[in-house]
Amino acid sequence: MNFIIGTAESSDMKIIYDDTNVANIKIINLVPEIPDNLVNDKIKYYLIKYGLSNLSLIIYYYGANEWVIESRIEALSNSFH
Amino acid sequence: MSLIENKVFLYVPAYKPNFIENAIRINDKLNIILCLEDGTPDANKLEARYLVKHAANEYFKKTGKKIIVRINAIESDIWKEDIKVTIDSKKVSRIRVPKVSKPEDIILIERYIESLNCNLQYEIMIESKIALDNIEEISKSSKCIYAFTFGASDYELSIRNGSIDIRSDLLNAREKLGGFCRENNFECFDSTFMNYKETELFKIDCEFSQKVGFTGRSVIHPLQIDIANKIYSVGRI
Repeated sequence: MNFIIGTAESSDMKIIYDDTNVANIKIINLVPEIPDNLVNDKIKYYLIKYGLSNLSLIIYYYGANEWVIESRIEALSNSFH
Repeated sequence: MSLIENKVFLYVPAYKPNFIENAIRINDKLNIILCLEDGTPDANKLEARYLVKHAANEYFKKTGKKIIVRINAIESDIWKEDIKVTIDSKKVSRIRVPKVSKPEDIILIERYIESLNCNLQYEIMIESKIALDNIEEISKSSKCIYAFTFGASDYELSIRNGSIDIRSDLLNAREKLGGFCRENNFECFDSTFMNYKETELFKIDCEFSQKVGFTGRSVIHPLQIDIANKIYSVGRI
């Protein structure tokens, strides 16, 4: 099973989930003005909050603000129901 | 301009975070309606609910105002999820309910909202002849009805087969709805005007709309905002 949450548009974030791979979180920051560690910390915070930090995810970050990051991750968590 | 005074509404597709953020930036001129219905494709509806939930919080944090959400119609099987997820933020002031045709539609929604221990106000979309014919009964179905709004595109579809003069029938429908709301003291919001580049025609249409009883309008483009604000800000005439 795999699915995609979000888009590659500016101010958004795209999450690709693939359950055929081993658990691994890969975050790709496509906004050079924002340091990678800030992006990683924020995204990982919400992955932990919603219990998703042990999944196989590729996350492309396109400048999403915090409320968008949380929205996309909460949507992902509800996609399994 | 506070939410109470400002009767201009911008539809924003709920699945587009950049559109939502742009709308929040111009919030002082209008109210935002996040659209989960026609403005959001089926494939994006689940994600869009969570964008609405968190956008409502963000909007409130930045402006002190609550958001309006257009949910999916009763005939869909997803309107309950729309309500359940989006009101979780507690920053939704009203829901705009599309394709209402009879009082039972509102009673069903109200029962569901009450089961969630919430209360909300409703904006009821009149989008068919049958709905307009039932407006008196619909208006009595709940004490939480804040406004009626006219949905011209779907109304036109509902009369297309039997109509000889669609333009005239649409004008008559708006007069009937505006007149009913005026007599019964409901707010009444007119439909979107799709040719946003035709600003002079839009102005004339808003003047007609206000004359027949409408107190505000939904817009689809920033070009329309100042025109609508100027005309509807004088209140009901």
